[in-house]
Amino acid sequence: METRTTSPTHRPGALAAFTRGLAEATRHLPLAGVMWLVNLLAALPLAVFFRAAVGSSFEGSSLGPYLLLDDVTRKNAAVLEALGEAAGVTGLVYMAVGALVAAGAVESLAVTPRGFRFSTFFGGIARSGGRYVRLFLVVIAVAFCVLWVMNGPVAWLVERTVGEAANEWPVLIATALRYGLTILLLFGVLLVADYARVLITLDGAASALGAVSLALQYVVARPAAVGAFVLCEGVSLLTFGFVWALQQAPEPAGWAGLLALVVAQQAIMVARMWTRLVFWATEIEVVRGVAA
Amino acid sequence: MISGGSAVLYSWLGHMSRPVSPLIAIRFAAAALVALLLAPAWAGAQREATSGSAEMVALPPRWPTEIVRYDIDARLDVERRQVLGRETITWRNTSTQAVPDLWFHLYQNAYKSPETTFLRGAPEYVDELDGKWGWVEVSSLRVGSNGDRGEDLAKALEFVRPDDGNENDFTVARVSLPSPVPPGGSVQIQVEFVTQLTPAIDRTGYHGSFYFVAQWFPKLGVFEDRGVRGRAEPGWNCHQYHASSEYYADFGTYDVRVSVPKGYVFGSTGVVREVTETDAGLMTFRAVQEHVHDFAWTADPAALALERDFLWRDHVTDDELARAATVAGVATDEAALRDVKVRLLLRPEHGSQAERHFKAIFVSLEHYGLRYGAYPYEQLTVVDPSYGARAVGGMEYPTFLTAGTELLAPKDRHDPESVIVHEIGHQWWQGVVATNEFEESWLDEGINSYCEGSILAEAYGPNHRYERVLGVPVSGRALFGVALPSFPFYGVGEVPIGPLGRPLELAQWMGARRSYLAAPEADPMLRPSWGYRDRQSYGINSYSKPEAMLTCLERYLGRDRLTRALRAFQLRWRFRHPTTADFAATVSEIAGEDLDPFFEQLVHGSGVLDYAVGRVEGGDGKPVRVVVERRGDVVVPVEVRVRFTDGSESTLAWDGRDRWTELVLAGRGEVAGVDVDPRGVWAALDADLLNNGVRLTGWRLEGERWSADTLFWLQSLFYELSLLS
Repeated sequence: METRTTSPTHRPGALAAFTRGLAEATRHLPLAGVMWLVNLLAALPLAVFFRAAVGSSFEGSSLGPYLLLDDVTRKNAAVLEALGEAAGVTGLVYMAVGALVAAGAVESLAVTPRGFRFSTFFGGIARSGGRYVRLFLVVIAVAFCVLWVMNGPVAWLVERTVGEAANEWPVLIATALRYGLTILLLFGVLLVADYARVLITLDGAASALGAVSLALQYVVARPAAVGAFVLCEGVSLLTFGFVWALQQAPEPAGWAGLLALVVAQQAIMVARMWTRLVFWATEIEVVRGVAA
Repeated sequence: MISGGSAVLYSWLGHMSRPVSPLIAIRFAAAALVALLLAPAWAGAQREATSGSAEMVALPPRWPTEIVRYDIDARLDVERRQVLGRETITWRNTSTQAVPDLWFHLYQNAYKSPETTFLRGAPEYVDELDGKWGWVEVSSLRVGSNGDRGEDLAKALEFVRPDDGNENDFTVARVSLPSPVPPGGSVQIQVEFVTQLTPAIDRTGYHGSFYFVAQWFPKLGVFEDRGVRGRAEPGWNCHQYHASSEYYADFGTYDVRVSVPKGYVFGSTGVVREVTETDAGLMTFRAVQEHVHDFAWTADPAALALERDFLWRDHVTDDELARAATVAGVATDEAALRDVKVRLLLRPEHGSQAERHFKAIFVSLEHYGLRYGAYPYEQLTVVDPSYGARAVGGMEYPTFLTAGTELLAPKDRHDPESVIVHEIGHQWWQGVVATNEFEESWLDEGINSYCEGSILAEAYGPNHRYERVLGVPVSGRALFGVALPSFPFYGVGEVPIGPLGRPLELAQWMGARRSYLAAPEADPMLRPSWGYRDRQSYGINSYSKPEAMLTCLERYLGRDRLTRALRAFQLRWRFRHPTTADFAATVSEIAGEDLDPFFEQLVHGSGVLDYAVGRVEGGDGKPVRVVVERRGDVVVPVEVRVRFTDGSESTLAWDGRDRWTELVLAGRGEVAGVDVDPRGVWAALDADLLNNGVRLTGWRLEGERWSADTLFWLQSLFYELSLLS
């Protein structure tokens, strides 16, 4: 029989939760594969559309990348505009689907006995998917509010406060603080949302808003929750290093090179999915400790 | 100006230079005749004769005809943000006509109301002004000399609107004189005025205690005689101030005293000859400069005043000097530069960038000087505007200019460097070769943009616009006008590493080409600056298209020949007001071939240039037939290269005149690919480079490569979005 809680005597700190989360996420690599597949299926039609639309535009491949990109973009402006719109719509749909996938993924990570099973994954979607989608809508609304406040009233206040300064330093510091605070708030939103998801799955929080409220109280009361989140962010940043390394690689010189590039790109995407699992698995470990 | 007709009068085939055509010879003979007829008028004004080289025909005087003199006393009132001034203008009539009136620019009235011609053209400044309107009020205007103050004509000033008839525009005024100024005569005018400054917008104004004061005093227009710059009838050239216009004025001497509160660092056009302190807590700076056509100044209590000498022999080796002389076709001593005193007024928060500023200044003085002739003045002052006054940055005045940087400016992006090089370039192009920016804005901005890019590439490397983020080169400009999502792995803010995540090489001419092709057919290059379709078209036709055009010309003629032509144009027209026709004639002469058709199409026309490979047949033993097409209106000669799989290649030439042509090669091996204009001679203007080549064998995976990147980019985008869900 599957259960979602752990021993009431277990109360891990941030590092211990993170370590266990890493192990748990690694055990669920097939789950990362499922998430990667959903991501690939969302993006692939658009990429194929792009390839078909630009057709033989790349005949001028002897041009430098800037000229090539410049002319491809100009020549296919209408196509790229349509692609942008399609990507926008797809992105919205993907986020909604992503909420369902998250419900299944957190369920899979939370239950014991451990190990990935499709029945558990889809069971999680069926059990919590609706609340996850509603939570996603709440998160979107809050994130927009944060951005509006920081780019509107707060930016206005900063301009009124230091805008007349002839010296650049106060302006730079104020602007850095504003952007820093914006990033912190957005991370805060992600942090609370993540714990709300875990609480929906583990504690069966009845509503999305209720889960947010619980998560907020929980995060404030438990510094380990924030510590674990920060450790996970560190892992997440590592994937950017892989992207940077990929950019340093020489241009592929043939089919084999191109294939290697695609494999590397997709491996990075799988790694990104895995880091998402690390987040959830770690947060589950933290919450289980408190549930005790 | 440029000969009419659509026929191409010369053979472009083979890119061979040829002797000067009869048409050009006739033109120069006529020019020489005109010069002889005008010689007496010039002679009296000539202060210093020029020895000149044998190559330079019809050399002008080394220093300009001094037509006007301004003696100005001004005081900065920091409480009211006003300048209280009194000026004595001495104007000499060098025309053959008696002149009955005087026309003045009152530039500061451009900010008098939202309905001025300037603010109608740039309505975004209305919000920036936030009700703090600017104006200049003439409280007294008397005609007379030697203390004879005469009748006050201030109330007789009549506002005129020669360009658009806008009744709400007060940027040009005329006054009838009690008696006309006879040819060779002069008149003196005493003017008292008050200038209300504005917050820093568009080249002038204040921010906090920083002041940059330009276009601030009543200033005479230019009286042009019949025949001057192609003028049919004599009259004043005095245009209203437009959102897309700059300036045009006579050369003369400025002797200006400016009083500012004690403790302010002062800088201006010319050289400060005298500093006095008054009991009222003011410092008075007397700046003097001869042979210039404008005067601007700055006052800033926080600025760091740094001074160094540009000792040209410390920067130019004997080999470099010899090379410059060879390119110019002159003796080595004629290519010599001169030492210049450099003043840098740097904001204290940018103190760590002093070396970068000085290096860019010295690079400019060296490279512009070696290429186009020595900087002719004693001093150069560069101002770094304060935060909040960036709108005055990147502007040129004689011997005085504004740069512009920011805290933590990345070294590899070369932001302050590029603006410094550009604005110093204006000392040559507009400062001393004083083209009419109202009517032919491309002549200074376009030529200078080309020179700037070329010099920056030489001094800082071809990819001088790069910024590096985590070691990855980043384009210094937002690409394709789209502010893409700024993930750390794509770039920073609005400077993505290209939407597909790969670093992009970006030479300056590529940016010019992209800008030009945003609206290549909106206008011909040559129009009144306010007559373009919009300000984008003004920018394209004043900066981008001419830069692209000159880049092509450089590749067609060779850099040395174009440099020599520009130098000849510079030296021949120093301290004068040449036109597009003068430029075209000079370049044709030095190039040794008639380039009129080229300029006719690109300066006077708005057609695009686009050559394409249409069809390729044959090969593998059969004759190779290549159809090459001219898809644009612009006609130039092109090369067509056919490459074979055995590594050999053949290059064919086509004069490019017909809409298409079929080129046939005798039977050879298998064709690997065909390219039109393979050396990229016309790449900077070619509207579509993608159709310039056809690959029949070999690597053709570029589309797949970019599609893989697109897929990865979209996946990353979706992943980031999913963090919210």
